[in-house]
Amino acid sequence: MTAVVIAEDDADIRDLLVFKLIQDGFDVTAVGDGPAALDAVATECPDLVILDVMMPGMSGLDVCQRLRSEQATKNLPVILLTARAQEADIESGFGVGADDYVTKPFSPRELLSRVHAVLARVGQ
Amino acid sequence: MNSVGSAVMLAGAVSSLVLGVLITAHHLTSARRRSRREREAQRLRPLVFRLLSDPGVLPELVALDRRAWAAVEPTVISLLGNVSGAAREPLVDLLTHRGVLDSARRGLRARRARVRVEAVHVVGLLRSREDLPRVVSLMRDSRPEVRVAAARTLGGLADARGARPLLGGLSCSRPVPPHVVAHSLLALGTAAHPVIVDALRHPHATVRAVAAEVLGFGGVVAAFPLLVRLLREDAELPVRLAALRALARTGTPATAAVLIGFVGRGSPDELRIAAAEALGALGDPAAADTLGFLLAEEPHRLAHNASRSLLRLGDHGRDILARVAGGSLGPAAAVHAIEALAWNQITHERLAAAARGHT
Repeated sequence: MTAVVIAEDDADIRDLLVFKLIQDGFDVTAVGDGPAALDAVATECPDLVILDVMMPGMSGLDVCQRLRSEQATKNLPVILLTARAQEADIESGFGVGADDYVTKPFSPRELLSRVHAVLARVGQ
Repeated sequence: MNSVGSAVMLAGAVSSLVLGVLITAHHLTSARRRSRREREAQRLRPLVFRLLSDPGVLPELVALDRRAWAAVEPTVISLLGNVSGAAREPLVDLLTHRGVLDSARRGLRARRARVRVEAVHVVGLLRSREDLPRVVSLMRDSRPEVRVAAARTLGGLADARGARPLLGGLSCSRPVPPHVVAHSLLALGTAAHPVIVDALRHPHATVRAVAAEVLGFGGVVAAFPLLVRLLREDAELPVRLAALRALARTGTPATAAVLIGFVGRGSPDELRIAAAEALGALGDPAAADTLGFLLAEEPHRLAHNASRSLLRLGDHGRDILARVAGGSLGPAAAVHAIEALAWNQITHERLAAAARGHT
């Protein structure tokens, strides 16, 4: 089963993502902040990570950068999910190595399609 | 101590004890209520999530009793603000069936500011354009948080009729912050552009500046002549800077020549610095030679921006930097050119390494 870690501090969105991904057959671990996301990646060894950009403690951009700097996770697919939709924000997202960037408000169906597309690209 | 004193002390102690018990009881009751509500919300959330792709569960949610609905309503409203596409419709249906829009309409007239803020937020989320006049009237509310919520809702309603009241919110005695107005104006789309172009002639400087920024972000080419006039003639520097940034974003073939006219020593430093940066954002190679000469100019920020803008012009810009780095314009200009080329190389290598590591 394909494993996904979600880091999102808004409980409603986090639960929605968990619900949709489980419904779609994924094995999901959900956390509410950046440091917990790094812990979850270390323990769960997921196939993909979905990161909210603005989280307490450590932003999704920082988490993504950390993942890219570690040998074990440098190729781990990352999708950033955020309300920051300016061109410069999107540029920053891709600048830290994200594979895709989804802005809120988002379509849950579109997000799932992007998850599948990113996983297909890396051959999962 | 006499008996009166003892009685007063005893009464005080009893009062404190009773008050303590009451406060504790209140906290316990509130905590229990919150915990019950959270359990109820947890139980019902999956049903709300199912609704997003299965409208068949709508009747079940519509039929929830008052207590259960109170537990899950915040989740429904939060989701409505965060999802788009087909997932929105069932949430709007649910809230309409539950009478949330009617309740929000009543809330727009509530005495408590917090209720008015929540109500106008819900009206915006539900995109109820028929409530636009009432939302507009809240732009003049005595409380700033209500005015800000009303301005955001006018953006959410995406109705061009909101443009004038939004611009009016910048120049009245109870103003709304410019960034809130700008954000909402951008959400109104092309139908609002004529009103925003007109606002470039407004007597209030903040209105002219915000209108210029919004037209720049919208890439409204029709505003070009007026933006040029603002840049050349406006009495307020912030308005001229806003016009300059807008011109760079609009990006017509004539823009580079206009901006180049403002990097010379006859312009205020703030304009020269902004123009040097804007020429890079514009990306017109016609600006390359001018930017090259700016490397030898003061202040430092002007030369720095010119060097970074040259990098954005591609090979021609890098060739000029290489020439200046060799000393063609003197040592101070060479330092800027060398720094820019080094920064470019480091960035290029970092991106190349990231790309290699990621494949």
